[in-house]
Amino acid sequence: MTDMERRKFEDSFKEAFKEAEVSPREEVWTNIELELEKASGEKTRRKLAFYKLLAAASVVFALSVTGIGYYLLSHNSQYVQEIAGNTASLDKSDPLANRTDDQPSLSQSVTDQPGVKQTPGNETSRKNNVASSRVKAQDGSTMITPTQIDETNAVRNSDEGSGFIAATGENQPGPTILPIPTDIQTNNNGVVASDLNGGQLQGPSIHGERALPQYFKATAPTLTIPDHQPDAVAIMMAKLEDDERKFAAEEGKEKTKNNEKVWTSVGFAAGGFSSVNHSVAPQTTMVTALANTSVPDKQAKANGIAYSMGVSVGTKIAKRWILQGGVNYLTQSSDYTASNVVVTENDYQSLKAESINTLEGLPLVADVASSNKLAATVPYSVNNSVKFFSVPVQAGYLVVNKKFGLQLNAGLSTDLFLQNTITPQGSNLDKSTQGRGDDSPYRSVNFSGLMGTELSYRLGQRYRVALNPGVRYPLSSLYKSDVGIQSTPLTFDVGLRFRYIFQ
Amino acid sequence: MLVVCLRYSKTTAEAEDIVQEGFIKIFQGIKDFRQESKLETWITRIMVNTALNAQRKKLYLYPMVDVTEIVLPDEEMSISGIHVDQLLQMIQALPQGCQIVFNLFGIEGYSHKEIAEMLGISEGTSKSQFARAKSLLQTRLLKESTYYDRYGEAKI
Repeated sequence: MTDMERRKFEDSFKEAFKEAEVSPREEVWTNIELELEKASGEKTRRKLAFYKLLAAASVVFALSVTGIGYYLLSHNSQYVQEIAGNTASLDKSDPLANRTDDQPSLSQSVTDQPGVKQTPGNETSRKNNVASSRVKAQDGSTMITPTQIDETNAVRNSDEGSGFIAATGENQPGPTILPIPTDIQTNNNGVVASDLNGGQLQGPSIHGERALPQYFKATAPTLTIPDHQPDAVAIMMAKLEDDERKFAAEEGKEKTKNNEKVWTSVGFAAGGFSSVNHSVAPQTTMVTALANTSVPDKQAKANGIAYSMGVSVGTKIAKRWILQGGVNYLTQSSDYTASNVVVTENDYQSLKAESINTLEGLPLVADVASSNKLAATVPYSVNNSVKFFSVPVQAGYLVVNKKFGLQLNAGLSTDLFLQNTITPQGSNLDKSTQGRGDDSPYRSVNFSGLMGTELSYRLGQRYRVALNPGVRYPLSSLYKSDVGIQSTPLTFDVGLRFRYIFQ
Repeated sequence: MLVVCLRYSKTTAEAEDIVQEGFIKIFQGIKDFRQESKLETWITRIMVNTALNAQRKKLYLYPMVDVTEIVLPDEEMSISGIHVDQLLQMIQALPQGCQIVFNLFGIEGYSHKEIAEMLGISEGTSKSQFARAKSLLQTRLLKESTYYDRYGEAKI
């Protein structure tokens, strides 16, 4: 087989397949379509997931920013302390104060001096002491005064080779931290004595071991930058310090502004109540032949309005938790229709409206000779008003505690029944009141659960006005259990409170 | 395109899978198609690549080796008169390595060097595999033709 033939063979195959076409089954195309759909769907999903992630991230970011804000605000005191600490340490560690004097003339002259070593130390106080106690001048010509030291920029070697510190009076710019020899050797001239106790400084203003506050103070202005060039670092540090001080001052202000620890508030609330859960058990003791048994039912289930007013005090017990309590005067007023009047003591001049209170005193059916009885009349409207004195105690959680505040409250209220007034709307009927006591159908003490929110807005330094919608639900019936009437009115009211912040 | 895939596979189902995968790639990548070559060529190349990817696993299991003993029939073989289906069957019947190399070299027209790079084998292996494929095909063709000859005679 030649190469040509081989090529021919391959080409023949190529030719054979060139035009060859086989159609794939329909399913293949369907599958392709499905796959493509899936792929594009995945892409959208991925895009969607990305956006979801983005949204979540932004929410997290916002939350964290808020959180950090909160943290900073609520940790004001700590923060201010920290800043104060920083400022203090900055004062101490002023880079300029730490600057070792590297003025060539000074250091050189010191190192030139035989037997005198340069002290690299830069503690001014120590220097002062050393200066005052150790340096001893032999004669009056070599005296050191604080001002002289202050102005001295060089420690000069004397011509005779006897080391002494001279006041040259040259007013050279730059720091004049005086290098003091720590190891002063007494030379043959005895100019400088290393004896600390015997040290006597013959100068007009330095006496013995006296501390030199003036001297210390006087060094302060010498802490300028050499060559009178403004040091960028120094300027920056000074600026930072200044800023921090300002910031600290502002924070301090903020702190006092935001500090709400104890407050008192006065407020009133108005709303409505409805007896969501009431029942009237048939009672032989109070149902008479003539009595309209539906009256207790009507009275118990009547919906009405509720209003309260009171004062309260609150205190912050934790960063976000508060406790508040107070006293409230609470009135629940409702209307019902009665179609009988109660005749007391056969006195037809004094007719009372039909109510739970009056029915309580009514005799049994059989006891017709009783002095009290019911008389049918045209239906009339009766106002039933129940008054309580309540002592609420609530715990609150501060969701938002800024200029705008959001607080969630929950608590318990002790309700002391004061009186019930039945006011018939018709004429000729007496208003009757029912107080607390053994003969009263009302419980003297009841407990209610309280729940509410408080939306508040701070007005200035001392005031906060709050709007607080809330619900109140008695834990047991308003009526005594032997009355057989269950009434637990659910009250929803919206209160307005003015809060005065003590501190 | 199914024919292309059939050449690279042993069964129709396998070829269909390749076609499917290949077309998805084509549709997804059509925006990247530059008008440098004919669309058909481009599509074919994608198909071949897809097929190679699909077969790579098998190639890994049955590695190609240099085949030294190749007996090529001296007779000139012609495929004229043989239906494409039969040719396809013959190709599909080839051993895995041979089949791919034969397709790439003989029909697609890649050089042995290119094939060697594509499949990660040596050029020599590619050459010998092709030679083996060719030998096997020719043997098959010979068989076929004699078969037809015989029956042709018988018929007459």
